[in-house]
Amino acid sequence: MKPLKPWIASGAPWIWLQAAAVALSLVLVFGVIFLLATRGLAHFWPAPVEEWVVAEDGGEQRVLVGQLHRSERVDAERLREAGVTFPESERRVLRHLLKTGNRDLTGQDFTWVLDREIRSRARPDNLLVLDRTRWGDFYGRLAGIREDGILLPPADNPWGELDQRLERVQGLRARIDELERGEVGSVNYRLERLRLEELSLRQGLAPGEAVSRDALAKIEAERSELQAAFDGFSAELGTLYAEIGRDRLLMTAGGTEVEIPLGEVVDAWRPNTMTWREGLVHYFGRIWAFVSEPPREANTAGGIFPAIFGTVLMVLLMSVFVTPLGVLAAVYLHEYATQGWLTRLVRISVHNLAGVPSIVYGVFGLGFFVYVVGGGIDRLFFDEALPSPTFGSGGLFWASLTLALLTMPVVIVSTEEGLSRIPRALREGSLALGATRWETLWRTILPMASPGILTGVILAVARAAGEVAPLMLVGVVKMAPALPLDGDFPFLHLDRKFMHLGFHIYDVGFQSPNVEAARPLVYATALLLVLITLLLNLAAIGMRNRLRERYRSLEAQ
Amino acid sequence: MSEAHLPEDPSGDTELPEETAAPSPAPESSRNEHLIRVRDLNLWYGNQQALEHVDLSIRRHRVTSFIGPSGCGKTTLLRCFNRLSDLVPECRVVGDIELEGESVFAPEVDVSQLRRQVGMVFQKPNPFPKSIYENVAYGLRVQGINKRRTLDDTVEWALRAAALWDEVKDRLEDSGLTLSGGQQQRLVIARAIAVQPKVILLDEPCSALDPISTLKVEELIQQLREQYTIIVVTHNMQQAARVSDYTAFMYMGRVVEYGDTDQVFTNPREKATEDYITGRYG
Ligand SMILES: Nc1ncnc2c1ncn2[C@@H]1O[C@H](COP(=O)(O)OP(=O)(O)OP(=O)(O)O)[C@@H](O)[C@H]1O
Ligand SMILES: [Mg+2]
Repeated sequence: MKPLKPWIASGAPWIWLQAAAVALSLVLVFGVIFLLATRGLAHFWPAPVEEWVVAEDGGEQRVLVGQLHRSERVDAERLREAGVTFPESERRVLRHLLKTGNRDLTGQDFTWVLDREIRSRARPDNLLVLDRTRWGDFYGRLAGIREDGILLPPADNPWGELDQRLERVQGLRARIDELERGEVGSVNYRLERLRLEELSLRQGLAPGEAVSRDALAKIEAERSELQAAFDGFSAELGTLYAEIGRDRLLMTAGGTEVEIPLGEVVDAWRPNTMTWREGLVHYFGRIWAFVSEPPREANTAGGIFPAIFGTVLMVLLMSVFVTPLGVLAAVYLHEYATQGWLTRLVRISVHNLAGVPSIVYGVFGLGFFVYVVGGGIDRLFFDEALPSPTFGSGGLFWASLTLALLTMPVVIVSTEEGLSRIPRALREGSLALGATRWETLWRTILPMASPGILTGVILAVARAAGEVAPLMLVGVVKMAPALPLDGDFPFLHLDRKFMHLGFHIYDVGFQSPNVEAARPLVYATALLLVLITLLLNLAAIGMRNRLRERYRSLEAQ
Repeated sequence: MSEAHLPEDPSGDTELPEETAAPSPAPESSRNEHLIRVRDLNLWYGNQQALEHVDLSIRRHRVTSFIGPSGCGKTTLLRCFNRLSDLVPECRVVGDIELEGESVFAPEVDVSQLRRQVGMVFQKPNPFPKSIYENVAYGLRVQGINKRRTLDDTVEWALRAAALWDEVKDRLEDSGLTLSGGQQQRLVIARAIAVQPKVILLDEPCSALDPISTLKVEELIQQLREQYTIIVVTHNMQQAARVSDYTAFMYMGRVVEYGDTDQVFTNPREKATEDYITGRYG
């Protein structure tokens, strides 16, 4: 046996311990990503649709159609307590969760099936999966297509026929979306602004004074113009809706025949006939749809684009606010304030602020920013819109500001660290050349401290991107009607409420009516949140490294 | 080493005697006056006194060297001339320094203006992490001079004056930190003379240099003395003897002896000076 004492004295145990700690952290990080990726991304794969014949012991047979969601072994005793009967000999039984979809018919998306009750499993080619705008997925067989209520004669190639009609409907739907979200939304927004403009004209009057006719006439003219545009869009929408409602699919599922408007079908595919190449195309198509489309059906389906957008925009705005604020504070503390008990106290407080639970910042943001400052702004500048608040309720601006406050300690601390790393000789060199303190700061010290500043911003971004709790109080909503950035003046709408990936996860995972169906989306959204945080961080790190490169030789000194 | 070697009041006779044999060809007449006068300067770092009753006058267009054991206050005195002493918060000054008859400690003095007239080169070369060009142009840029032509000309002129031009003329955009130690020292000298100060303070400019670079810097000092007044701190006796016209020996915050370099080195008046010069002192 090795003598223990020299081994311990050599420090080897510590090195092992450190290595183990590093390994453990790595395993945890990769474990998280792996879990999120497998659980979240598998959802988009066109899994085969199976047809199961199921029969309880001695009971009659049922046919179930769906995708296998997951399988598990459960304690037999538990099932018996729940009222399921089977032989005493079995202790653990295998059961499967089958996603059967067709919520409009059966009222549920999933069915538990005991493995021993399955009589047969098959994957017929003609089973079709429909992704719908309502009621979730549909599984069944195509029986026919109705155009304007008339059943079409059976086509030679029904799938080609379906694809063709589906494509037409998808084109129509894209146009409808564009109209509703874009043009009509924009007209509505401008009408509302006109209304407020008129209101503020009337409110600004002294008693007895009349509104200038010219101004009113101008508003009226603009309004009728907008109204005409609006009517035009409504008419177009009307025809589009009529068009999209033309075709209906006749489907059979579980022995019943259903009619599904093609206008409600987002996508249709037959997973059992797909080659792996087609599968891949379909897979990435759905992932793309997930990241690029807005959510549907109370967030349980569709994409998460507005949440991604909101998260990124909020983090960027937060950085824009926190960087100058934090840097100014740090520079003052480090360069200008006389060092004494007061600065020490301030510094300690700043360090401690970093540890305050984030929800407290949320409460502060709501109580101070939203109610006090926002309310004040509303009374001063948006008087005409009252009592409906503009800045007096949560929104992008207040959320970014609250998070800027939350992350400011990090920026202050690392900026101060960056400042104190600059050799005194360099400051003196600059001062000795006749530069004032301000010039020295601006020309030499700040550029050299910029890697430190960016380190702070990186940490701030990392923290802000993952923060949810305070946001729920100051502007994040589960469903925002419009993006905070669009083509209507002033383009960036700081007062608007917005969606956020973190809150989206919470909402989909725990607040949605259909938790089991939405669970894969939770994982996928979480994965995306991690990736976006990573991306934002990488961008900041890349920036910092480029600056470091510039002052590289400094550290060697 | 004991106090016994020191005269009772070393500040008594430190005013420079009337110029006897001029040590080197220097402009005579009215230009040849005292540019800087230090009058009974005392300086404390907190409670510790670092300078005691310093009286000195520095002649225009001459090289004056300060010698003395480590910690005797040479750097401290040097940093008073351009008021870098202001940067040490617990530092307190009593007494006065006059530059061309005007007090540098007067409250109305514009410190950056003063520092433009009194350039300084530090004990360790401290180029900015910027290009060679920007290092030299720095002093001009802070004065608001941004015209490319003026900058180009001045940079070239200053680099030539600092005997660095030939070595760096093809790499002006490289970082100043890529230069060797000796080149960096000449770079910061170029940086200091680019703003055309009246006085250049050199704090042990060769302490980190090899003999060849040292020689170059010494030659440089010889050239610069034609246009500038130079004060150089050094630990190297031969160097002081070679480059300077006048020498001040400092000991424990006092100027013990001040006079012609020849006289100080060949015929010191004070025992302490002799001990130090002959190496009997640490
Ligand atoms: N910033 C400071 N705060 C407190 N004391 C200081 C400070 N700078 C210098 N001193 C003290 O003042 C005295 C003189 O220091 P100074 O740097 O002037 O010595 P020096 O003659 O330049 O020495 P060297 O030859 O080693 O450079 C020393 O005792 C030193 O400890
Ligand atoms: Mg010194």
